[in-house]
Amino acid sequence: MADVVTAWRRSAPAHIDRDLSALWRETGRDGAVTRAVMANLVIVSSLSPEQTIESEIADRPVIDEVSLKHPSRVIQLLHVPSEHHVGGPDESLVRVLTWGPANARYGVEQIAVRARCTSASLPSIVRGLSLGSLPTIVWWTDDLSRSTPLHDIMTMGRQLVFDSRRWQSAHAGARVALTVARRAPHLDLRDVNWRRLVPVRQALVALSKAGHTSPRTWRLEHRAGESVLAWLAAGWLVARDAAVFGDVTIRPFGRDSSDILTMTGEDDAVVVRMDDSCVEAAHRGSGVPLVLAVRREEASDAVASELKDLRRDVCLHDVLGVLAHFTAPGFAG
Amino acid sequence: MADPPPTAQAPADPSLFERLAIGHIKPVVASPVTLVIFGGAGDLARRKLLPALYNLYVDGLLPAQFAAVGVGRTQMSDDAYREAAKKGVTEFSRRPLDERSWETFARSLFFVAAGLEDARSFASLGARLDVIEHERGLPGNRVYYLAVPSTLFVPTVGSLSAARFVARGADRQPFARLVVEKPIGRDLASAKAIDDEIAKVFDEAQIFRIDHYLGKETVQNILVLRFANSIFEPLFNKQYVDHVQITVAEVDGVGTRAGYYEEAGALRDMVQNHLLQLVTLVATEPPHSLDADAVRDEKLEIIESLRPIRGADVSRSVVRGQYGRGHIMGEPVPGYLEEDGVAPGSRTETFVALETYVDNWRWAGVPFFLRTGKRLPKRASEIAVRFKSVPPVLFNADPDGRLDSNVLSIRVQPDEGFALLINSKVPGPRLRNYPVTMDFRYSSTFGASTPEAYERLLLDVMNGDATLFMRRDAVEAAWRFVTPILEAWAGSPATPLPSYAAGDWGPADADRLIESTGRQWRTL
Repeated sequence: MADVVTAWRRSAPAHIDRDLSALWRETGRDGAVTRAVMANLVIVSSLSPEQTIESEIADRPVIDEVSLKHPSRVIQLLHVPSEHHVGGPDESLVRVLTWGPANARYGVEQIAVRARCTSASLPSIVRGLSLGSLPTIVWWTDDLSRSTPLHDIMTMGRQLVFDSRRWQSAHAGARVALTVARRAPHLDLRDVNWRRLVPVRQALVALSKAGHTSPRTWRLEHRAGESVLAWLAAGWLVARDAAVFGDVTIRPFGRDSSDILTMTGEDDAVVVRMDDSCVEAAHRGSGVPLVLAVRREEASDAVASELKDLRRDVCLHDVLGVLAHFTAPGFAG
Repeated sequence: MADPPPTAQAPADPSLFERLAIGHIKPVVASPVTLVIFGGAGDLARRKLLPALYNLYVDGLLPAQFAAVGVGRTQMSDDAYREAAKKGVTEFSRRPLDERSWETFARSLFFVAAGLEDARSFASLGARLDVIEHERGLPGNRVYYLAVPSTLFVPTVGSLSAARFVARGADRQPFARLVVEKPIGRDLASAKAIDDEIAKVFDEAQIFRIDHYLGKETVQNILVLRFANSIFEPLFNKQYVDHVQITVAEVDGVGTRAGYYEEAGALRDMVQNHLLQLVTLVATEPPHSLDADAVRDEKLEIIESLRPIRGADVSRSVVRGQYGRGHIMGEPVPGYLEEDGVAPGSRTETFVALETYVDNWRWAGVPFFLRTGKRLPKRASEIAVRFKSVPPVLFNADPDGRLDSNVLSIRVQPDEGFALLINSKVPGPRLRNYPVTMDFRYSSTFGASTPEAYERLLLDVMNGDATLFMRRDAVEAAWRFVTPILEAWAGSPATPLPSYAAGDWGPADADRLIESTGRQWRTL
């Protein structure tokens, strides 16, 4: 957490930057402090009309941690959807968080605005609050599969970061993500759940490079709550032409298991196990299984790492494309 | 005689800025002076001049012998003027009003009702000024500040002359100085006519033409940045700079100024003065000294080196537009043609973008893109120097992922400071680049609110330092650049101007202007 967190301070929406400047000046009175800012981090959440801005932002430590690990101008846009109300933010708060020793302090700024309005009003709010010279990243903390994304905001972003673990449906989530990506061709999709599959993918690629034949049929089993991870793995197999969907079965474990995911290829020729600490991959034709460590990282580490990578994750786009277009009965994730 | 300001001593725990300000190099305190503000009850005085004077007073920078005399048509007592001034200071001062400081400061404020073309009024004004100066021990040094529309410049100066208020000559004691606000004229001919009339009464060295942009700390810092650091100046030339972008964006619409704005438009209101002045500071050669004329000579060279845009070139190199309805920070706002006081079918431009070149040895072939407009997404002014890209090898080899080229961005307002965008390796075993900014901000580094532009400029007028003011030749050179564009527009078909939605970054034509060169506007 930050060494010093100024309390959220009320600010008139029209004076947010003026009030932030005043906060920086106050912070600077204790010695020089550098504003650290690598990106605009826009976090959009839906609020009910009864919810207050304070209650919504009160307990979001992971946002502060991401601020530290990937210093950003954080813009929390709390949207109270209203079909008839056209207008700007009705409330706004600002604060500054600082870290580091007295002779090398740095800090980040955070803005929270509550806007009860149609979604048409939102882009101008984000445009007014973000620093245009920096990459704008939209961090979607809700379930994307059940959301109506705000396309106009997405088109302003360089990245859309989400966690597909929250998805109720892999199919629906992939469709939504892909629709967003098509409307905003410059937007890169970043899924912190997909990130967890890196050692699994590395292991399978390593087996493939060792000359082992890749199975065409696969059985994937997963821990409860990890179905989307399994579907992402299946989508990847299909996207790299290692399988066709009709030959992939996905089901939850029918037993107690410490594993998160297992992938078993045709006639047990390949078995890949992923638990909380490692991925173990074995091919029937080779003696010693491959073992790769699973990164142990906090949620904020995962998000911050994704934010730091501005290259297009072509593979994830392909996988989502596969998942979005797969319409077989029972494909609900 | 004004009491010393109660807050002029060092605070108990001074910020870096305050420590610097009270260090060995004391800021110069102005000579005893009477500041006569024509338009003393107007908007400029209320919002800018009086708050600036108050802050100078609190900072201990006003002379002990000082008076500010507002002049206007409305009858008003000194007390009523002080009360109106207090409201203005309370609302617009960069620091909160302190009652004790205000009480002592307010004793130096006065008001005189006078018609600007009325000889009898000027006689009574003169008598009142004499009394005030006598009572306050002032030697008769006067600064006449014309905070009135430019149509009143010549009549007011004529009245000053007729009432024998002005002793010609910059070295005369007591001194008389004149401050005029932009815009001076509507084109080259009218600017010359005004300057000629003023020159009949005041020497050039007595005239201070204000462009308040030049008083901003960040603008003053441009020369420091360039000429006090060895790492930038060698790069500021055609060999390393790809292009320069200067944006002055306003979020406000025309508001209550439609009467003025309908006659002016963005080119006269912003480009002829603010933006061209910023061009001069970015592009100027190092002056041989910081003497006012040495600096202004070099700046003049730049304006005179601007490639003229004439005739058919105007439609190729200049884009204008007018804001329509849209959203600003979520709020719906009307289009320009729906604003009060705007003529139906008005073709006044609220947005201008242009491409120009400084045709000298240093900048040959480097485009300067200027852009200004009303009802843009935010209030922001920036000079961005974009450097050339590194060759497409090594880290820049991927055709689908070219590196961002380096940018030095100088933020004039808000959030004053500058930032240098550089590519950096993301920590970790993989080779990933990320554009990062080295960011300097006045507010967080110096820990104090920086003085407003008018504070610095008023102080300079009182001290007779004209470095930050525009000289006649520079103003006329700027008009010489702008007037052919105005003439081409005047001769163009009377079709509606390209429109842009309020809250957007201008019309699509502006994007085409820069994108046709393979570049893009920066989003601020």
